[in-house]
Amino acid sequence: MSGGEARAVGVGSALTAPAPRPAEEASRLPTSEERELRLRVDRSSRRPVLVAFGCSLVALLLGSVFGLTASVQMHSPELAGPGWLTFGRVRTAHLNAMVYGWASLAMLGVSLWMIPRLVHQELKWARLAEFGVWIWALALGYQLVRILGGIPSGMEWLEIGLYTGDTFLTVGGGMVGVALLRTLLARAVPHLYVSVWYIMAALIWFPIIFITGNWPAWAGAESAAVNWFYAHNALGLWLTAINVGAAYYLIPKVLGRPVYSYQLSLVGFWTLGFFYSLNGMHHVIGGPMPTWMITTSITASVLMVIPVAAVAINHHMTVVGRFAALRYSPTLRFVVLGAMAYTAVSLQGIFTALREVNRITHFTQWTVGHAHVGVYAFATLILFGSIYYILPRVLRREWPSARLISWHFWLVLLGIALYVTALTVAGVFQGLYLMDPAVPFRASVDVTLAGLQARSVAAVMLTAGHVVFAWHVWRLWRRPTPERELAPFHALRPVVREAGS
Amino acid sequence: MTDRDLDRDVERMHRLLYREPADPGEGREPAPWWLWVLVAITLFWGGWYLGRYGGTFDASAHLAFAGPPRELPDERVAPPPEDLVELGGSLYVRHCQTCHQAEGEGVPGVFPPVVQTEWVVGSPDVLIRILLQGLEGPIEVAGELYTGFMPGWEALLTDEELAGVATFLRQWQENDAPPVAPEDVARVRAETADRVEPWTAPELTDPLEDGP
Amino acid sequence: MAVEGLVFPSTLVLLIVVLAFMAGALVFFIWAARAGQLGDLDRQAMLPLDERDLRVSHPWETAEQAEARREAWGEPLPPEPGEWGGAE
Ligand code: HEC
Repeated sequence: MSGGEARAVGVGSALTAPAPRPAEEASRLPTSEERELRLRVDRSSRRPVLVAFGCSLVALLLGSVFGLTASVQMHSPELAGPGWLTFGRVRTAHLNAMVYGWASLAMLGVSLWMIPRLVHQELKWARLAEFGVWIWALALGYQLVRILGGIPSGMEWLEIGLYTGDTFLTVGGGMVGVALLRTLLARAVPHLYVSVWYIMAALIWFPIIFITGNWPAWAGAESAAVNWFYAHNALGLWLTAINVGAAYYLIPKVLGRPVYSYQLSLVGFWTLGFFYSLNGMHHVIGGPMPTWMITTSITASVLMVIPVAAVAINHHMTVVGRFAALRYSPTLRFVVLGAMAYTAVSLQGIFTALREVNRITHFTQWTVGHAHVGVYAFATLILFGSIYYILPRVLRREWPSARLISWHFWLVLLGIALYVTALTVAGVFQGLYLMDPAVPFRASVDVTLAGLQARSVAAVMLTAGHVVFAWHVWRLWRRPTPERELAPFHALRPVVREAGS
Repeated sequence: MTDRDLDRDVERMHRLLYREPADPGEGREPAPWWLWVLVAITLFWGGWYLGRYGGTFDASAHLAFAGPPRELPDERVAPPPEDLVELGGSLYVRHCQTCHQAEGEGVPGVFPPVVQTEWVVGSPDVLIRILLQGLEGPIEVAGELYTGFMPGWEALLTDEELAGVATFLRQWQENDAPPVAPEDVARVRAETADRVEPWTAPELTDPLEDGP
Repeated sequence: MAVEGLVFPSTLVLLIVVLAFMAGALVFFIWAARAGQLGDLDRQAMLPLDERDLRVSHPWETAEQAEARREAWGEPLPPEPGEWGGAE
C-alpha cells in the first residue's frame, strides 16, 4: 500500500482505454482472461455472499414476526403469550434479530461482494470470510434463543451475552474484516473509491465500538454513557457507513454516470470519520453525565449537517434529470428512496438532539419512529436494493418475477410510511402530555393508542412484504441457470484499470 | 494491434480523462457555495452553544479515582435565596400545596386554609413551631374545627427555607404580616431542640404550657 | 460517596476512545493525502463503472442525454433483462 505505486503509474500504462467495438461483437460474452475480471471477481466472493444473504433473510423473517408480536402487545396487552412471548423479550429479540441478524449480515454480504469489485481483485481468503459469516450467524441464532429464554444482558442494543455471543460476533466479523483487508492490500487499482473508504472504515470502527460497549468493566449510572456511545455509533459508523457506501456504488452503476461531485463525497466521508464518534451522548440529555459532554455531543450532532448535506447533494444531483430511471430499475428505486431517507433521518436526528426538542420527544414513541426511519427506511431499503442487484450477478440467473418485486416494494414503502407517521405524531402528543402537569399520566398513554394500532397495521404490511421478498429469493434460488450464455453484463471491462489487471 | 488501433485507444483514453464524458463536468463538480456558508454558520453556532451550555468543562467527574471525593462548593448545595418570598413560594408549591391547595384555600373539613388565619398572620414563633415539628389534634381555623395531622419540616428544610415559607405565607394574597427572618427560625429551632412529637393547638395558645 | 472499590469512570474511557477515533482518522487522512488518494478525482469517480455501463442504452434518458452518451462512448449497446438490478 505505498503512495509511490500510485504515482508511478503513468497515464499510458495505467489506463487501457475501452476499444470501440461494433455493437453486435461487444454484446457477445467476452472470453479473454482480462475481460472476465468481473466474472472472476464475482465468482470469488460467491459463497460467503450467498451465506450472508441467506442467513440475513432468515433473520429478517424471524425479526418481522417478533416485531409484529411486540407491536400488537403494545395496544392489546391481554394478548401476551407465555413467558418467552412477553413484550420485554420479544421486543429485544426483534431488535437483535434485525440489527445483528438482518442488517449486519446483509451488510457483510454487500461488503464481501462490493469490495472485490471496487478494487478489481478477487476476494482473498474467501473461506475465512465464509466461516466468519457462519460464526456470526450461528452465535446470533443462539443468542436469540437466550433472549427469548429471558437471559439477556440488561443494556439496550447490548443484550447479547458477553462470552456466549459478543465474543463470537467479534471473531466472526473480524474474520470477514481480515479477508477484506487482505483483498484490499492486494488491490489492482491504486485508488480507493469512496465506497471502499466507507465500508473498510466501518469494518474497522465496528469492532472498536463493539468491544468498548461490551467491555465488562462499566458499572453504575455512568454505564449509560458507554451504552449510548455504542448504540449511537452502531447506527452511525456501522449501519450508515456501509449503506451510504453501497449507495455510492449502486447509483452511478445503474445510471451509467459517475457521481455528481467526487470531491463532495470525500468531504462527506472525512467529516463523518473525524467527528461522528462524538455524537452518542445526545441520547442521555438530562442524564447522570457531565453537562459539557452532552453539550459537546449536541454540538457535534448539529455539525453532522455538513456530511449529510454533502451526501444528499451528491446523491440527488446524480439522479436529477433521470428520475425516470426509477421505473426501470428496482434496485435504483430502493436505493434512491433509502438515500432520501438517510437525509431525512439525519435531519430529524439533529433536530431531536436539541435540548428544547428532546425535552418533548425523549421517552416517547417519537424515538421509535425515528429509529425506524434510520434502520428501515434508510438502511433496509438500501439493502433490499443491493440484494436485487447483487444476487442475480452472484447466482448468474435473473429474478423470475417483476410483479413480486412491485408487491415487495409497495408493501414495504407504504408500510414504513404509515409506521413512521403514526409513531411520530403519537410521540409528539405523548411528549406534550407528559410535560403538562395538568394532564394526568394516563392521558399520555391513551393518546398513543391510535398510533400504536396503526403501527401494527404497518407491521403486518412490512411482514407481508418480507415474506414476498423471501419467497422471491427462494424462487430465484431454485430457478435453473439459463441454457443460454450469460447476459453480457456479467463479464465487464472496468474503464479505469491497471495494465495487466 | 495496429498503430491505428493504438491511436484510437489513446484518443479514447484521453477523452475519458480530459474530456467531459456524457455530461459536462460529471464527477467533478465542486461543492456548491451555500454548503460552505452552511459550514460557517454551523461552526459559529457550535462555538456559541459550547460556550453557553458547556458548564465549566469540569473534569472532576472523570478523575474521581485520582483522589478522595471533593467537597462540592457550598453555593451549589444551597444557592443563596435572592428573595425569601420567591424561595418560599416555590417551596410551598413543592411541599405544602398537595394539602393546603393551590390558592391556600385548603380542603373543607380535612386540611385547613392558610390564608386569613390567625395561625399564619399571628405570632411568628407559633407559626415557626408548627412548621418545625408539625401539628396534631383538634384545632380551630377560621371558625372551623379540624382534627388532623400535619408533618413537621424540621429535618427537611433549612432555616432559610423555613423563613422563606413563613414569610411567603404571611404576605400571600390578603395576608399582610411582617416577614420572618432566618435568624428567628434558628432561634426557635434551638429553643425547641428537645421537642420531637408534633404540637397540639392548646399547647401553642396556652401561655402556661411549654409554648411561647 | 463510596471511596473504596473505586470505579474507573466510563466517561473517561469515552474521552479516550473518541480521541483515538479522531487520531486514527487523522493518521489515515494523512496517509490518504500523501498516497494521492485525494487527487485525481475524475479518475476515481469512474472506478466502479464498466465500459458497458457507459455504453449501454439507458431507455429513460432524454434524446440529448443519449446523444451525449453516444458521442462520448460510442454506439449504444442494447440492454439485457436484469441489467439494472431486478426483473423488468
Ligand atoms: C400532609 C398534608 C399537609 C402538608 C403537606 C402540610 N400541611 Fe399544614 N396542615 C395540615 C393539617 C391536617 C393541618 C391541621 C392540623 C391539625 O388538625 O391539628 C395543618 C395545619 C397547618 C397550619 C395551621 C392552621 C392554618 O391553616 O393556619 C399551618 C400554618 C400550616 N399547616 C402550614 C403548612 C405549610 C407552610 C406547609 C408546607 C411547608 C404545610 N402546612 C404542609 C396538613 C398539611
